[in-house]
Amino acid sequence: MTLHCRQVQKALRAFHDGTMPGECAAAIEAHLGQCAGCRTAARRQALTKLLRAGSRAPAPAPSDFFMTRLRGALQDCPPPQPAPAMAELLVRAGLRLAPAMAAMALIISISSAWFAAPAYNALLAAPAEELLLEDHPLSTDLILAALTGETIER
Amino acid sequence: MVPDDCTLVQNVLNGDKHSFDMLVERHVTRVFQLVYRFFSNRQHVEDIVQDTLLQAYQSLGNYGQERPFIHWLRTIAVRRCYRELALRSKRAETALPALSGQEQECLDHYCLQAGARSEDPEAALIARDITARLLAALPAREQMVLILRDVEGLSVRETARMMDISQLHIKVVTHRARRHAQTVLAAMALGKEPHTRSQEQPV
Repeated sequence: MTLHCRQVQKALRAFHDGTMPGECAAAIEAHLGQCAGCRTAARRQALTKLLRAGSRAPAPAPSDFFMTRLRGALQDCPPPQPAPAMAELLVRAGLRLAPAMAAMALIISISSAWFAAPAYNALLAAPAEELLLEDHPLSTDLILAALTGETIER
Repeated sequence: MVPDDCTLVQNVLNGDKHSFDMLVERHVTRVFQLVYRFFSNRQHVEDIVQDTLLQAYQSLGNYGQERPFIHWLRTIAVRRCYRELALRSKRAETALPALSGQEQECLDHYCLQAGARSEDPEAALIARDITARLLAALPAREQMVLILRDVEGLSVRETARMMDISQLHIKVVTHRARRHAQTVLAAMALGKEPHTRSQEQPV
């Protein structure tokens, strides 16, 4: 079977998985034996296989010395605390969120002042008659009082 | 009758310290083997396992019992390993030594033979050495994801839960880590064998 590098490199995944028919696999093995470029590509693709092979290395078990040391450390360790109650969790969450909430309130107040300022200035600059003629949301009594300097008794 | 994990946890919370010893006896080997995937140095592995179990003991009240105790324990171990790996990758730049002749043979065995799966423990140890050096050249998060996904065989969901990051992020990091590791592996192999351009070569 004649194989070219492009064909070999396309078939490498099936080759590594072992799902390739024997004749094709033998041809690819033969090609890999001769072609340095395809060998590099094969090594590149065989990563998972290599990782799994490494994981089959026997792992050491914890030694008796370690277990003794661990028991000693556990003896010196303070006892576990029970899980915090829901109210305590809420208080903790509130404390954590407090700075963010304060910052948000500050941003909202600054931005509302920023957007409201031009409208308020326009209102102050407008002649009193215009304000009275238009159906403005501000109370006409209040506007007149502000213009004449009178105080309103409520 | 042997008490189950939940009963033992409840006993510990009620003040019975001995029950935690039973939990340790039951699960320490699995935690040890998991940590050993991340670190080769035995002393280091022991320190991390000890830290993990002490942390588990102290925060036992937070164990929700909605999933198996060993999963909770492994999650603590994985996060502890991640912190350690992140510290190490900040501390030192790892050089990439070329593979020795024996390692090259081992790599070729796994890479150049169809469906090769050796049960030879010596070959597995060599493969482990190669992968340890390979992984040390990657950033901490990529190491974690490769080990959890490709070595431990965890799903994206399980990995995301253990590392406390989103599943989408896990998918992205997995893809990036595999490509990165493949490049590193090729560079390690090329340290032994000079790179030659691929030629159209009929057999």
